[in-house]
Amino acid sequence: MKIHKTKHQQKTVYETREARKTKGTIIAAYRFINHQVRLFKSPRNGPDRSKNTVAMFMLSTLSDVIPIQPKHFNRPTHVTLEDAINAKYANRVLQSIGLCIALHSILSSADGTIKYGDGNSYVQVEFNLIVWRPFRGEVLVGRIKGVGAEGIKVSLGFFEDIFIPASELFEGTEFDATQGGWIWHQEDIDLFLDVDDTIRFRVEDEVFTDKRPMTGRAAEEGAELLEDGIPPYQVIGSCSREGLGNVKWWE
Amino acid sequence: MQALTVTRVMKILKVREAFLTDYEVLAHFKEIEERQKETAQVLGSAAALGSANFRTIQYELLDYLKSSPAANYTAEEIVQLSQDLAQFDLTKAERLQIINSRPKAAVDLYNIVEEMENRLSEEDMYAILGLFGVTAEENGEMENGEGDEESGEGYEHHDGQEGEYQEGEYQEEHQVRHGEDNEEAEVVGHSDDAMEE
Repeated sequence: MKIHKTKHQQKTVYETREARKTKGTIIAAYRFINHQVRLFKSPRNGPDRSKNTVAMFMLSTLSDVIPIQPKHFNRPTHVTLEDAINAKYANRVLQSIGLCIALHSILSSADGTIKYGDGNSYVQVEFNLIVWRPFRGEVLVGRIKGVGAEGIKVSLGFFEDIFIPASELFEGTEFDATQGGWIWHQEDIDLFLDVDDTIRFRVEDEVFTDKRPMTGRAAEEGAELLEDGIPPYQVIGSCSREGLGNVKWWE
Repeated sequence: MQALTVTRVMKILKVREAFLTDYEVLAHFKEIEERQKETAQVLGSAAALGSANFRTIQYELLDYLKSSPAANYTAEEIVQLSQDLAQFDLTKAERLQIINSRPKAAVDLYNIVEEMENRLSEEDMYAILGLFGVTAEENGEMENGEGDEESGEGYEHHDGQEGEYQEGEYQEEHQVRHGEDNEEAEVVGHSDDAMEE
């Protein structure tokens, strides 16, 4: 396994001993510590017809080995597989894919094999997963869950890590700490963005943070701990165009 | 929000197999709910529930989708809408967004369609809005709709029934509505370009 630095890397790559030992693995040999991969590098001007154009919800095809416990042998296999896949993937973030929602359909499954050591039947399954991943330029409606001088935090209910930085708000907005909200000053009126308001915003960027646990050499050498506060998948929004902002303004 | 580490046997075969509208995801979850109810009748409610993380996403997502504009669709409407939208110069992503968000005004379309001034004429824009039953509010004029034929013909206006607003729109193929008497009397075509800005 080779070491190589990509332009996304911020810190040094460690070639772990484990990675050298294992062969034929899917995962990459390098382990990043606190690396962030920024996607959507297309320019702001002009239509964004980049290859990253996806819909909010999309289907991804995955293949995985699912263990079926002996107590479930009497159940129809597809039911057990569905439950197991949902238990494993629902509400979890897959790096560079997005937020996995649920199993959509099973494409194929092989016969189960029983391995030495336990009684589980291991089934190789190919399936379609519903994944949530908004694309750049998409307009979404969410609820403001927090305001601060740095920006506004928005939540969609099932996804909480959306952030609109102060620089992406309308020109002429300012944060008022006493009132606890953002105020958009216009000539004749002031418009407010407070907590619990419904806000329409535009997706600008997404940030995936790899949160794999540190092992081996990296831990020994006392590399800096990954902060727990960083979510594995964060969406950056903007709220500066006509039609965006508090939905009450445009009704 | 928890991250899922890719294990050695998990393979991602295709990142983007297909795109789904909000309506399709909602329909899928409704199906899941049905199946859970059936299982609950047979095996008891504890057996019917999924794991904790699945329950969380199911609950939250249903909440979000039911309050989104996608909640009022039927399957035929979606099909009809996607056919109707195909004639305009829109990318797949834009069509999806329009279906998902149900624009109520020109400004909504402006946020969805990039460079709308260059790609869509004003007629087109009002035709698209007409597909969603956007009426002329400014001066209350009701003329027969112009623009393309599909949006102009046979629109019926259901007064006071916001939730079922769009069910009367697609008259070409689904002639069922003509049986109802009170709506016959109120056949009014929607004007597409009486909305003056």
